[in-house]
Amino acid sequence: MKKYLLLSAVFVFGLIFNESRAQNRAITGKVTSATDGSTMPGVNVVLKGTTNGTITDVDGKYTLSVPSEDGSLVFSFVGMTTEEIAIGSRSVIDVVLSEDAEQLEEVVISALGFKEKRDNMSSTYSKIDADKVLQRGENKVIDGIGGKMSGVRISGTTGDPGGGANIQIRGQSTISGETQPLIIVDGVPLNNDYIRGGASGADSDAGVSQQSRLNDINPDDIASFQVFKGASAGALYGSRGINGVIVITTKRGQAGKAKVTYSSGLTVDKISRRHALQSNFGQGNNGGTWSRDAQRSWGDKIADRTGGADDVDDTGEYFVSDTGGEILYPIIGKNSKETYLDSNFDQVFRTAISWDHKLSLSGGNENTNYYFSVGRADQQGIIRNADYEKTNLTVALTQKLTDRLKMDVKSNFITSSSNRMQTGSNTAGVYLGLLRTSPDFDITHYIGDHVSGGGVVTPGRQRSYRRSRANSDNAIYNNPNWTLNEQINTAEVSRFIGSAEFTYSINDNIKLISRSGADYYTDSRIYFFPYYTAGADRRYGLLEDEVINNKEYNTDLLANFNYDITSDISNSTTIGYGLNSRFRKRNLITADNFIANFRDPLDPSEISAQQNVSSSVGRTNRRYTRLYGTTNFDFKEMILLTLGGSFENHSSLADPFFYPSVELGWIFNKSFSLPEWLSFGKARFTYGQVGNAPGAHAEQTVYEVGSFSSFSDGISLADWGGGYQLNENLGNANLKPEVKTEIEYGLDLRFFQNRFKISATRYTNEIADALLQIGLAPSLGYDGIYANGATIENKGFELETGYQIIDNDTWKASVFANYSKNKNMVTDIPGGSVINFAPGSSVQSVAIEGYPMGVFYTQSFLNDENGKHVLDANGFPQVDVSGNQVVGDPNPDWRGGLGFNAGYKGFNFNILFETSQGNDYSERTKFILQFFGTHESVGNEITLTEDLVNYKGDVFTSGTVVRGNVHDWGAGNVLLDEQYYEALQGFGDGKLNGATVVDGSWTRIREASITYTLKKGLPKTIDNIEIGVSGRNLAIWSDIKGNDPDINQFGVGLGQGIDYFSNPGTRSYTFSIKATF
Amino acid sequence: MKMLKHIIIALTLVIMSSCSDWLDVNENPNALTEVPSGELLLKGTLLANTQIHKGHLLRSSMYYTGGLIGLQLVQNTIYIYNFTPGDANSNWTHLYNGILVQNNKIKEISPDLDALEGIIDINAAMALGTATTIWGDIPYTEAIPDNPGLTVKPAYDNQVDVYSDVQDLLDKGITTLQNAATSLSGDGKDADIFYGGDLALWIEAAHTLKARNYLLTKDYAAALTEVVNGISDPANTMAYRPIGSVSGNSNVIFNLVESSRAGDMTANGTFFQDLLDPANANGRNHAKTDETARRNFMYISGDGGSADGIDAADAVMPLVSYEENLLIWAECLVRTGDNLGAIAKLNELRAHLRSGNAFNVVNGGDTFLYDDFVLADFQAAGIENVDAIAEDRAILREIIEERYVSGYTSYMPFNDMRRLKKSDADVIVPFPLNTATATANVERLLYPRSEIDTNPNVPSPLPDIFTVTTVNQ
Repeated sequence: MKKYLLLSAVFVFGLIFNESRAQNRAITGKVTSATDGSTMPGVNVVLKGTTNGTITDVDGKYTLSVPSEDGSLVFSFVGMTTEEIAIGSRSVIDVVLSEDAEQLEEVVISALGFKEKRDNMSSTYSKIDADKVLQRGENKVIDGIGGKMSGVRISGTTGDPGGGANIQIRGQSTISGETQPLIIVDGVPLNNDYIRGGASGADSDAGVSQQSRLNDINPDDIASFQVFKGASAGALYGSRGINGVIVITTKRGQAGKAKVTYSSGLTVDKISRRHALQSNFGQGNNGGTWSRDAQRSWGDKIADRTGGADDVDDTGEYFVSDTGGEILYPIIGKNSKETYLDSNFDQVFRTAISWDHKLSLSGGNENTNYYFSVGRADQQGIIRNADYEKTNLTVALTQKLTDRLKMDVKSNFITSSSNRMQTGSNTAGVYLGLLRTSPDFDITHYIGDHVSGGGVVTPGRQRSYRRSRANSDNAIYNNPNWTLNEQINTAEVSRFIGSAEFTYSINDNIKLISRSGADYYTDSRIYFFPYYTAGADRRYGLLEDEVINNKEYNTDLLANFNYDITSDISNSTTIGYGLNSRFRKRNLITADNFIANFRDPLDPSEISAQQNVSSSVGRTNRRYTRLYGTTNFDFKEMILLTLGGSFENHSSLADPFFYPSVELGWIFNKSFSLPEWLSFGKARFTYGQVGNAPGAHAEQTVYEVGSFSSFSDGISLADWGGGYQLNENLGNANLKPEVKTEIEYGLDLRFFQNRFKISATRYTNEIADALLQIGLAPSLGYDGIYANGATIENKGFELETGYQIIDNDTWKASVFANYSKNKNMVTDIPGGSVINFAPGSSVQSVAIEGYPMGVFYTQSFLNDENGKHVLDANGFPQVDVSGNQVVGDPNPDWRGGLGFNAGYKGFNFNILFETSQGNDYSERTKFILQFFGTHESVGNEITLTEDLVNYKGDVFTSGTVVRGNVHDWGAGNVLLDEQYYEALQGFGDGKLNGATVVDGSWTRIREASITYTLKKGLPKTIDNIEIGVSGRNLAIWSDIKGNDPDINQFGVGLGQGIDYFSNPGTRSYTFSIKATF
Repeated sequence: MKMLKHIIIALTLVIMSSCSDWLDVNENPNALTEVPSGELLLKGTLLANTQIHKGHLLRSSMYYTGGLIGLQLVQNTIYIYNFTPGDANSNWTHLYNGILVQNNKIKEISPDLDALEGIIDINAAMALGTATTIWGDIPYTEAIPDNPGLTVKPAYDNQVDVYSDVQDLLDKGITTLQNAATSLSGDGKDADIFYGGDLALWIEAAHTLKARNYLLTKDYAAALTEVVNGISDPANTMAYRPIGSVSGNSNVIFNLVESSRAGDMTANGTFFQDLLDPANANGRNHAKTDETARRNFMYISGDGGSADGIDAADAVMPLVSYEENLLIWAECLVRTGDNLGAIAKLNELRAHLRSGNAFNVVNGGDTFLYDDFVLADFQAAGIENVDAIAEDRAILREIIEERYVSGYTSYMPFNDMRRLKKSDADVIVPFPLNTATATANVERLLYPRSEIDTNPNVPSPLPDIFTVTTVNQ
C-alpha cells in the first residue's frame, strides 16, 4: 500500500517540480523511513520559501542545487512527519522520516473515488477507520457506525438477527422518496434496499422486519468508511444524493508475501429490556373474578386462591396436546396459585449464540495484487427459532497490464438466509400474544386435538389464552409458541456484486478511468401461516410466496487532469459520464383458505383451490445518465476552491437537471504567522444542491382493475370477470426532482502538534419541490396527483473533536467526542395535507405543515385554551375526539458520542458512549398492556389514605385496599383502576393515545472492548494474534423501560419512535480471536 | 487542455445521440396506460354507480328514515347525526372518477360509440341526478375538465340547473339509443351487467329516471309523460344482480355485514320493521294487506350470516325499478286528479307483490296478502282512511307509504321525506327522530372532506345536514 502511495506521489510531485534551474551548489542525500529503515522514493524536498525542489528517486536519493549556505530544506511526504533541516555548510543531508499517525488518517476518498488529502477538502466528512467500523467478531456494518460521527443518526430498529437499521444524515429530506443515503462502494452504487415484509409491503406496521442490504457486505473487507454529509459533496451524485452519501472503499492486496488473517467471533445476545409484567392478578375482564378466555387480566387476586388443582369439567370437550400428549379439560374454577410469567418468557426468548468466521488472504508483487476473503456468520435470534446466516466470498485483483494501464476487478458473492418472527400490530406476532397472555395461563400446550363433547376431533387446533379449550378455529391472538414453531417467515438472498475499473494514464497529467459495476440480488421470501393462525385472513391458512429480483448496473467514464496553471495555482479536474440502470421485479403469489390443514409452504396452487390463489407482479425500471465534473484549484495549498456539478437526465424526470456545488477552503495558518500551538486552521464554506428523483412510472395515469368500496363493502371488477377503470390518481408528466440546497460553513482547527483537533460545522438546507401525493379536487375526476410541492428545512450544527492524550511505544490514550443538533421543519405542504408514515397505528407519525417531520399525531387530552386538561366531574381527563393533535416529536434535540481509547503495550481498551436527548417516544405497548391489565404498573394493590373516586365516580373510602394507582390530573387525587384503564386506554380513536408519548431520551454504552495483541513468542509463521472481548448496548439509561428506545415498529423509514409489540432489542457480548500469518 | 476539449465534445455527442432512447423506460410496466376498447371501461362505471346507490351514503340515508339503526362505531356516529364530511368521500369519487371520467375516456377511445354512448350517458345521468339530490349544488359543467391539475377548481352548479342538465342528458341518451345503428359487441353486452346490452330496457329506465327527476322537482305533470314509457315489466327493472359468493361480486349490504363491521348496525327494532309488523297496531297490515313475508325478506340483522332476504349474498339490488315507475305513475295521477287511475296503478303493483315474484319468502310459513284496493278503501272510514282525511290525500298517503316500503334500500324514503315535508306534511311517513335532542330531519348529506379541502368553490358557508336543498325549499 505504501509503495502505491509512493508511486502516485512520484507522479504528482514530479509535475510540480519538473524544471530545475541553474544553481550554485548541490546537496545530496537519502531519505529513509523510521518505521522500518526502508528507503523512501517520492519524498518532496524543497528549499524553504522557494519553489526550488525535487523528489527522491526510487532509492530514496535526491540531489538539489541550492544557491547558498542559507536556508533550510523541507522534507515532506504524505503520511509522514515533515522535517525541516538547516543546510548550513553540509553537502550531504540524510533524513529519517517517521510516520505521522495523525496525517495518515487524513487521506480521504473523494466523492468520485480518488484519494485526497483531507486538509485540502472543504466539505465535511466523517470518516471511520476500517478497524473501528465494527468491533472484532461482529457482522452488522450499520450498527457498528452508530455514535461515531456527528450528524449521522443510526437506529437499530429491531433486535431480530440481521434486521435493518435506519441511517439518517442531517435530518429528513423527503416525504415520499427514498430515505436512506446513497452508498458507493469503490466508486459504484451499492443497493441498500429495505423491503419490509409481509409480502405486499402494505402492512408496514406489522409483518416481519427485513434487513438492510448494506449489511450483506463483509465488514472485514472494508478499508475505509466515510460519510459525506453535505450537499456539495453529494452534488456529483445528483438525484440520488439527497440523503447523504456513504463512500466505502474495500481492501485490495498489498505487494509482498501472502498475508493471511483469520478471525473468529462468538457473540452472546440477550434481550436488552423487558416489558415489566404483573403476576398478582388473574385473567378476567371485570375486577375481582377469574374468567376463562377473557381478553384482559383484571381478574381475581391470585394470592387469595385456595391453591391446589383447578376445577375442571371432564364430562365434555377436552384438548389433547401435541406437545406432550397431556389431556386438558376445560377449567371451570381457578384454584392454582401458579403463575407463568418467567416460564412463558423463557419459552419465547433465549440467550442467543452466534458464530462469525472470517478468513482473508492477500499479497502480490509490483504488477499483481490479490485479495481474497471468505466470511461466514451464523446467528441466532433472541427469539427462539429466529436465525440468520450469511456467507460472503470476495475476490479482488489489481493488475498492471502495461506501464500505463491498470486493471482492478472485484467480485462479491453473498448468500444469506433468515427466519424472523412476526412482529408489531399483528395478532400473529410473537410479542403481542406473549405480553397479552394472562400471568396465570401456561403457553406450553399451544397445539393439539380438540375433542368436542360430541366426540368430534379437530386436529392441529391452536390453543391460546383466549381459547384455552381450543374450541374455536379463531385463536384471536396467537399463542407465542405458535408464532415461533408453526409459522415460517424465511428470506433467502443470493447476491452478486462485481466491479471492474481500468485506469489508463495518457501521460503524467491525464488519466482515463472506466469504472463499471453490477449488483444483482434475488430475495426469495415465504410467509406461511398455517390453519388456525390468529387473524381472519389467516384462519384457514395463508401463504405468501414472494420473489424480489433486483439488478443495478452502473458505468462511469472519467477523465482526470492535473495541471499547474501558474507556479502557485494547481488544478485538478475530473470530467465524468455515467450510466445507471436499476430494475426490480417482485412476484407475489398468495394462497389462502387452504384445502386442508397443510403445515408446509408447498406450491400455492397445490394447497389452495384456484379461486383462493392470486398473484401480482410489480416492476420498476429506472435509468439515468450523468455528465459530471469537478475542478479543484489550489492556491499555494492555502486557498482551495472546488467547483462541481452534475447534469443529470433521469427516466422519471420530465427534463434534465443540473446540480451545482461550490467548496471554498482557506487554510489560514498558511496566511498568517500564528502561535505555534495552533498547528492547523481552516475555514470552509460550501454550497451545493442534491436531489431525489421521482418514483418510477408516475408519468401516466394508468388503468386498473378497479374496485369500488364506500365502507367495508367493496365490489370489484376482478370478481366481476375483469374490466378496467382509469385510476383516480392522475399521472404527472412534469415531475421534477426534489432538490436540497445546502449552505454549510465550518472551521477545522488543530492544536499542539495536531494532538487536539476540533471541527465545527453549521449548515442550513432547504428541500424544495418535495414530492408527495397531493389531494386534487375530486370533481376534477381525480383524487390525487404525485407531484412536487412540499418544502422541508433542516438547520444544524455539528462538532467533532479529539484529543490524543499520550502516544508512545508503551502507552496510547485518546478521547473523542461528537455532538450534533438538527432542527427539522416541514415548512409547506400543499393543501395542508397530513402525510402519515405510520399507517394503521393509533399514534401516527406524520408530516404536517409547521412541525418537524415525523411528529406524533393522534387523539389526546381535551384541553382548554391555556393548554390545561379539561377534567370531568370526577376529576378525570377527557379525550378530545374532535380531531388529532400533535403530541410529540421523535426527533432528538441533540445527539452526542463520547469515546475513549487506551492502549498499553499489547492491550487496547475502547469504550463509546452515545446519547440522544429530547426525542419523544410513543410507548404504545405499555399503554395497551395497562388496558389489558398485564403490565406491572397496574398489578399492585394500594391502601388508600384518603377517600378517592374512580373514573365512574364510585367512592372508595380511606383504608380500602384496591388494585390501581393514585394520580392527580389537576383537581386532586383520583383512583386509576380498571374503570379508567378500560375507558381511556385501549385501541383506536376515543382513547388518550397522546398519553403514550413520553420523553424517549437515552444514553447508552454503544460499545466497549478490550483486546490484547500478542506479537512475541509466537511460532514463526504467525505474525500476531489478537484476542478480545467486546460488548454492544451494555447499558442503556432511559425512562423507556420496556424496550430499547431505538426500537421502532415502523422499521427503516420516516415513521419513527413508536413501540407496539415490536420485537425487542439486544445486548451483546462478543469474544474474538484474530490471527495474522 | 486540447485533449480535455475533445473529450468533452465527444462525451456530449454520446449523450445527445444515445441517451434519450435509453432513458425511455418510464412507461408503466405493470399497468395499462391505454385500453383497446371503451367497452372495457363500461362495467366499472356500472359498479361505481351501484356503490353510489347502494353503499355508505344509502345506508346513512336509511339511518335517517327509520330503516336502520347504527349500533356502534361509525354506524352509530352517523345514526346520531354526526355524519362527517369524510363519510362522503368515496361515493363522490365514484361519481366523478368512477363514472364521469371513465365516460369521457370511453368517448375518446371509441369514437363510433353509438349504443354505448347512450348507455353511458343514461348511467351518468342516473348518478348525477342522485348526487344533486343528496348534495344540492354540485360541480357539473366545469367538472372533469380536459386539463385537470392542482390549480383547476371546478365551479358548483345550482341544483335546479343540474336537474335540468340531467334531463337533457337522459334525452340525449334516449335519442342516441333510439337511433343506434348497432348494439354492443358480445363483450360489451357482457360488460353491461345491468341490461346485457338490451337497448330498449335502457330506454325504459331512462324514462323512469326522467320521471324520478321530475317528481323530485315536483313537476308532476311532466313526470306523468315519462312513466308511460318507463319500466314496463318487473323483469325490466334495472338492478345490480350479484353473480357470486365472494364479497367482490356480492350484495353490497351483505359485504358490510360479513366484514369486520358485523354487529355495528341492524334493522332490528326500526320503524320500518314495526310498520310492516302484523303485531303492531300502528302497522300497515290490515284485511287486504299482510306484510309478514315481505317484512322478513326486508330484514337486515346486521350480524351477518344472512342466507336469503334482502341482505343475502345474491340478493338483487334494484336501481330503477318497475315498482318505482308504477308508484311515480300513481302519485302523479292522484296529484292530477285521477284517483281511480292512481288506485289502478297501486293495484298493478299489488298484483306484482301478490305474484310471489317480488321478493323471496325467507321462512317457509310466512304469509303475504295484497288484495286489490277499491276507492272505498280510501274514503272516510275505509281501511286506508280510518282517520277520515280527504280521499285523494288518503290515496297519496298510501302511495307514499308504499314507496317507503318498496323503496327500502334505496334513496326513495330519504328523498320523499325531504320532498314532501313542506308541501305534503300530512301524508309523509311518520318515522321518528333518532335522538332525544334532535328536532329536525336530515335534509342532505355533507360535501366530502376531500372536496372541501381542495376546492374553494364549495358552497360557503358549508351547509350542514339540516340545510334544505334548493328544490325542497
